[in-house]
Amino acid sequence: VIYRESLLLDDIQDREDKIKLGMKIFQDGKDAYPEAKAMEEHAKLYDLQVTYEKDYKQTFIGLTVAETIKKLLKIGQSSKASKMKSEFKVPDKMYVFLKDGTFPVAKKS
Amino acid sequence: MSGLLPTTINPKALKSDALASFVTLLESVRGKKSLILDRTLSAPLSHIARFSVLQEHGVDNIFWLDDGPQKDSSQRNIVYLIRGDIKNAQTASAQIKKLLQTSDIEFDFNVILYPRKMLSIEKVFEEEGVLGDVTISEWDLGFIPLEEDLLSIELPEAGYKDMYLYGLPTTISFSAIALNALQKQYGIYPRIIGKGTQAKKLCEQLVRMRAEYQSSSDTAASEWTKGETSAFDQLVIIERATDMVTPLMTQLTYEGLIDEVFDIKNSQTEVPSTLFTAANPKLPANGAASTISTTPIATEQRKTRKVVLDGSDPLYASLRDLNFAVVGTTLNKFARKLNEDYEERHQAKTVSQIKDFVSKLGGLQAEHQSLKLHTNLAEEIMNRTQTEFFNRALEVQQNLVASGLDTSTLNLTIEELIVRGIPLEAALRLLAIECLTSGGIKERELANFKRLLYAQYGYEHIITLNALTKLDLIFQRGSKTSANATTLQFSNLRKNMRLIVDDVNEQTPDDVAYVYSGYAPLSIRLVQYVIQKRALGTKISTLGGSGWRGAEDILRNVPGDVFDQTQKPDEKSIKTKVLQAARKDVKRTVAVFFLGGITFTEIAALRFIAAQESERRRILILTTGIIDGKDVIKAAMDMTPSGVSTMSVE
Repeated sequence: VIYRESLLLDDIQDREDKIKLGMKIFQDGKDAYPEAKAMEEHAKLYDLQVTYEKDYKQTFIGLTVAETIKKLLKIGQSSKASKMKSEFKVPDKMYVFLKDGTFPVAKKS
Repeated sequence: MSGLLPTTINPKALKSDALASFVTLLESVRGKKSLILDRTLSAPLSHIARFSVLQEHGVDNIFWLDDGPQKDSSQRNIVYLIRGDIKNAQTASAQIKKLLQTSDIEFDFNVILYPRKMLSIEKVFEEEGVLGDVTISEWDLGFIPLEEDLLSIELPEAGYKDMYLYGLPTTISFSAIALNALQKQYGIYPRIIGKGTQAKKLCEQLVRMRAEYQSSSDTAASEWTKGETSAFDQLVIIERATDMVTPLMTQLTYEGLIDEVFDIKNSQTEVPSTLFTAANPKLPANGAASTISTTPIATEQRKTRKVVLDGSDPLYASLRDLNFAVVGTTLNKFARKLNEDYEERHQAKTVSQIKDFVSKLGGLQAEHQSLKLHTNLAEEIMNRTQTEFFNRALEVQQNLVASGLDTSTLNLTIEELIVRGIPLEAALRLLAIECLTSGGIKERELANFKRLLYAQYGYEHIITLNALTKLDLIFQRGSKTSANATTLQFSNLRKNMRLIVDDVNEQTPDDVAYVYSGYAPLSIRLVQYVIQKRALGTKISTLGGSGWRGAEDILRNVPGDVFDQTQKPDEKSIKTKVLQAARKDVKRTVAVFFLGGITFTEIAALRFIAAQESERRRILILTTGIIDGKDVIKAAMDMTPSGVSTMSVE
């Protein structure tokens, strides 16, 4: 239980390695499989966000999956967004909602 | 003091006692002093002593402990008032150390620990090497009277988090100290009855404390003889964990909704000041001093204003426990009455009549102010309650408690709400209610929800969900097998305890279920079992018997141990009986203690019972603090390092 805390403290400091380390500990732990998987996704998200930051010169780190997709849609990277959708198994419902929510904004700007 | 012992509990006396004890502590430090305050203690303190009172006793400045070391060291005497936990002690000792090193003025450090001195704290000071430089004392404040019928220990998060998440014994021991102090003053609780595993521990601790006193010394023992004429009839301890459904439900009384929307802390709430400028355009500053009080220390200019909400405002006193549905009409009635009162001036013909009216005018104006305030508050709450999110969430809640059979459609609604980004805490509340009422969520659905939650609110909430699992609020169906027999069997209780009342009358309530528009809080039903059997309908009233007797089968569906302990007044028991018989005419008090927090709706419901029972007895509500569903969920959310800041997605 304690390492879960430490692990999150680290990830807030944007330490990718530590997430991965934490993930390993998680996988070793008993019946924490779903959590381990979620951590894995978090690491993946972080990786993606790093590349997005480089590519689009905007901050992505710290956003949630939903926020990231939204932002991608906002800056017109819908292919990236839909890729994320499938990668993070975002339900269609949510995706549609994110899309609907962003389109009016895109029109205005 | 005369030989007569108090037979009723007087909260005002408790308040002045508390003040006196604090002043004594302050006076023990000579001259002017700076007070450094633990932030969580400021509110309870302000209940007891106004800033001016503190000033009278030599307090020059007040600082927050967590604001870091003070640059302003104008006073040589520094008094720390902190809650006795290790983190606080470390902060304080570090600050003291720094001051000692950097400054060449000789300081006089005093540390007042609340609620008692502990060895572990002294140890911290010793380790920091400052033990020799400080004087440590304790302030054993027990219950803080919030209202005439409501006393609270005001622990942070009502001690809920400490007790259930961290498994710390502090909540219980603080409660025991406070309850014991009451017992000493007003006589023993002849009977302690309760529900809940932790509550049982508390009961055992209370009995032990008394036994220790009896054996320790004669003087202490003589204090206990007061028990002969105890003011109490019985003490009912209800533990929060026995009923988690109730706090998670959205409160529907006026006070409860203010708490949900604006948060009430220590009978104060912060409302946007725009509400105020609308409320009293002519009186922008301190016009309504009776209802508005700014905190003694204004750390920064805020956009909000603090409003004191308590029974001293007659309008609020009549509104607070009503179901929100009728608040509008009540306000209307009040406005009309006020108008009539104003109209009286036209009838005033003689000089004395005019004089009369003028003398009433001040009171009328105060009423006017409070009417405006509450109308604005109610309007603001209306705005919130009419949003789609609020109503959908409420609908799901009501359906869950009422039927709980077909969760799949409800799950769809919850899912949709999450997708559309309702606040995380609201989403978690719904999920927790579902788990509690229908024995968990199916594995696949839970995994689905988790993924949604992570995607919407961020992965750090892995921790939050973990904490909630630990608190037994969100769990998988079947994960808690029958090995633990005392899990909440909500569907059984729904029928047996009449938790759902279909034809609820919100206008003139005839059952406690009015507070949630149809759902009677389980915790309150438990209390009714003990003190008000007949109100529960034929099925139960025929059971007869006192205490829990007759209800064992039903209670098996509620988690936690059941206990029923009698405390006998010692030695002169025969004499006692005579005395008791003689005092039959005196109304005795039933103390109801909520371990781990109480909600405003439950308070409202208890007051409702108290009104029904007022012929025979008083009900005194005791608790470790006042909570609502948000607080419960936040207790789990605070575990994430980013805390609440990242939770909102537009």
